Amino acid sequence: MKKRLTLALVASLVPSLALAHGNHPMAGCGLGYLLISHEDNERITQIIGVTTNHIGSQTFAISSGTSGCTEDGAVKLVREAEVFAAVNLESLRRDMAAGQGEFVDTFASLINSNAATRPQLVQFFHQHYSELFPSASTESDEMLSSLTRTLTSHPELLG
Amino acid sequence: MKRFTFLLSWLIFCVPAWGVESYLDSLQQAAQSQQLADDPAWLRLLHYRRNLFGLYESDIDDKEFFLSPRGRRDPRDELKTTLAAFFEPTPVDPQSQSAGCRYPARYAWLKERIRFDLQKLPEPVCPRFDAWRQHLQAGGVTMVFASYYMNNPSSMYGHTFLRLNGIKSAAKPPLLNYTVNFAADANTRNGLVFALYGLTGQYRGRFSTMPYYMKVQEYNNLESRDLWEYRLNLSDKAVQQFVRHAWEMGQTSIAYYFLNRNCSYQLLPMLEVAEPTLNLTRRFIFKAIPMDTLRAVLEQPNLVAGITLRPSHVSQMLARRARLRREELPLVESLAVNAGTATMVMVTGLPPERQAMVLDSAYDLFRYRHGFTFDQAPVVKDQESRLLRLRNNVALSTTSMTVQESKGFNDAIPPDQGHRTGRVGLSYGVTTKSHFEELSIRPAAHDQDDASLGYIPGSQLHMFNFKIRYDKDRKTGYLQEFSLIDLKSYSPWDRWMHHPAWQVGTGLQVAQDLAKDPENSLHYDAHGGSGIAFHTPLSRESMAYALAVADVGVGAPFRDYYRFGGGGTAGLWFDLFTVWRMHIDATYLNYPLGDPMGSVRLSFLSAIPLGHWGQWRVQLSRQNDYKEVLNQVLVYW
Repeated sequence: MKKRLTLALVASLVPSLALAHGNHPMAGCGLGYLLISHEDNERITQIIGVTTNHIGSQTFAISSGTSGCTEDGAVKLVREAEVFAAVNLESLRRDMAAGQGEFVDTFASLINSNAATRPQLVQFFHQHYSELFPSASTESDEMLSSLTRTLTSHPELLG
Repeated sequence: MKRFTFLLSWLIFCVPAWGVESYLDSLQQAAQSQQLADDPAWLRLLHYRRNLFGLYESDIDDKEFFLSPRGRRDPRDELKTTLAAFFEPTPVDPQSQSAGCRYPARYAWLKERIRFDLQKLPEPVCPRFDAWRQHLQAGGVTMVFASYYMNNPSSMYGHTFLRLNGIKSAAKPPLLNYTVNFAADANTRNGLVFALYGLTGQYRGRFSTMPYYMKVQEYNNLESRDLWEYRLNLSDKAVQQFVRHAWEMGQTSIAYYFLNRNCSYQLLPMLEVAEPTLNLTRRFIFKAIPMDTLRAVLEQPNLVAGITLRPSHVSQMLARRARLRREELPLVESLAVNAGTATMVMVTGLPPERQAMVLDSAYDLFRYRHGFTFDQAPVVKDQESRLLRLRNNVALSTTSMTVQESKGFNDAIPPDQGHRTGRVGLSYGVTTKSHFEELSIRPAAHDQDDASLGYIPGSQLHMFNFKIRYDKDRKTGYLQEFSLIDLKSYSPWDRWMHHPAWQVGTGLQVAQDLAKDPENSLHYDAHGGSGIAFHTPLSRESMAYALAVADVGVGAPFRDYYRFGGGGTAGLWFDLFTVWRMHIDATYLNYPLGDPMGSVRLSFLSAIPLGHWGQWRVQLSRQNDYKEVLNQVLVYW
């Protein structure tokens, strides 16, 4: 209780409760962004994975042939999809299980530039949910590699 | 011979330079004759304001931001130096930028106003800036207001940041848009140091960009705060100038002052650069509360094009719970704790659309209890996995309504509709001994009896609340109260959300229970308490509460100069005809240490709104033998 009171007292002197730590360069996308969770103020929780290196690993590679993108474009999209999945894993997992939601729609838009076939892609996530998340502790890179595997036989969902 | 070579080199190197000089001269003259240094657009590009002596001074105290050493205080010299810098050769190192690339907004504005001859002053080539701008693809700007979170009155100040919306031709889902956020680089976790440094401008504030989904995770999920999106009506020209200026500001730091030069304030000069006809910053001198900066934006004619709510996790959870049938609640609750075989059988017995609703709510409650942090215990992860597999088994055709489509949020009232954060009051009071007049000034922000619209119902956030009284019979003036801070958070006990009611406050106040003259009863007080509050059916926001309280007073009025003790406070409020607030409160405090005189306080308050701008209160109170009737007119500003 005492801790709560002190915290409340201090927090009230701060017009914004965005207790964001660290320096975010304007040009970056803020990876490695640290947050203090208000559930447990003593623990700094890293909102995404481990490091930017982790995000950059090429676990999710759709060849330019199937995606219909230029190689540069594909690489760029793949990176965005990786970061998105890492940061929003819980929300994405829930949406994929339910087969609907803003996070899964947004994720679909990152790997499929064709709006017409996106609903089918979202449906595909729903149908393959247990392959994408085989265990309780599936991480985003594992989900993305299973997704790459299962999607290779469905190029029509990627463009 | 040597002399001749020297002369020759002088001729070769300086002749073209002489041509440049003359074009620079003509540009500088043009700027002077057009009085560009006094142009509001220029003054805003550099965040100049007039200081106490009427002289120009920039809010930005980072020397790197100015090209002239006198730049912070001399708009004219900064303009002259900026023009000269455009003529400097492009640096060889691709990471360092030429002046035109480092200051694209200044360049664009000066180029347009003086009409640069691109033959004489070639357009700068800016690969870094171009790549960045390309990636942002900004076509519009939205101001996002992060509302409060439950049980924390200090979050009632809110937070604002900007979101760059995609261009129409390549519309991205909103989650993928980039945000522009201003925050202090706080390197301490010591709260007191944090507060002290922040109040005195010891931290550096910086702008950052990051995808909106990170902000959504941070506010909607981690902190469970509603996000209100105010789409701004800016021309494409303004949006492009905003992006250029954001590039300039991203490489600059500004002294961060919690009260008036904070996260919310610093967005306003950015918008004024984008659209120099806007007038947003002028009123914010001593304090810039995010909610007030939002109102400044709303007061500009035609600036806000539309408002959208992105409900927090808690708001979504409550909205989805409202759609459940009473008999489904226990099932949801047991699923949230343990999705074992027994509960599974019960779920699969329901029709598919009810299954979807029950499982969605169970997941909501599960998430609410365990939070959104990544490092969850294996047991928790297993539970999540079981719940989601059950949800995945529900046929896809029976999708449950998404929250945004449900009715709950259509009539949600935007936070800007709430009362203003400042309040001034004129009162007349009668006591058993005399009559008095009172002036009260409250810079921020809300108490339990102000209309709760836009604030957390049942909460109080008072800072620097100030009251002076003048006793008319005894012709004496005195300080009645000066509180540093006074917080209350009474959130009703909910079936799913169990927050304690609590209060904490400290400051100077008069101990009227001492039976001394008020001018001799001023002391320093600190108190805190914890208890429970619950909703009563008397009216929509009616609440009853009971708290245990500890109190310490220090000062000359007390025997031994202090008192320390505790007791309890309990009360009830409800609204007649939805607006007429009645509030009854009883407090008993006993002081075993120091001055032993205990205190019994009773009060009854009636508050009636006076339009949107004020409130009329009548308060009857007594503290031991002291009795008082106070008649107050309060005006929000």
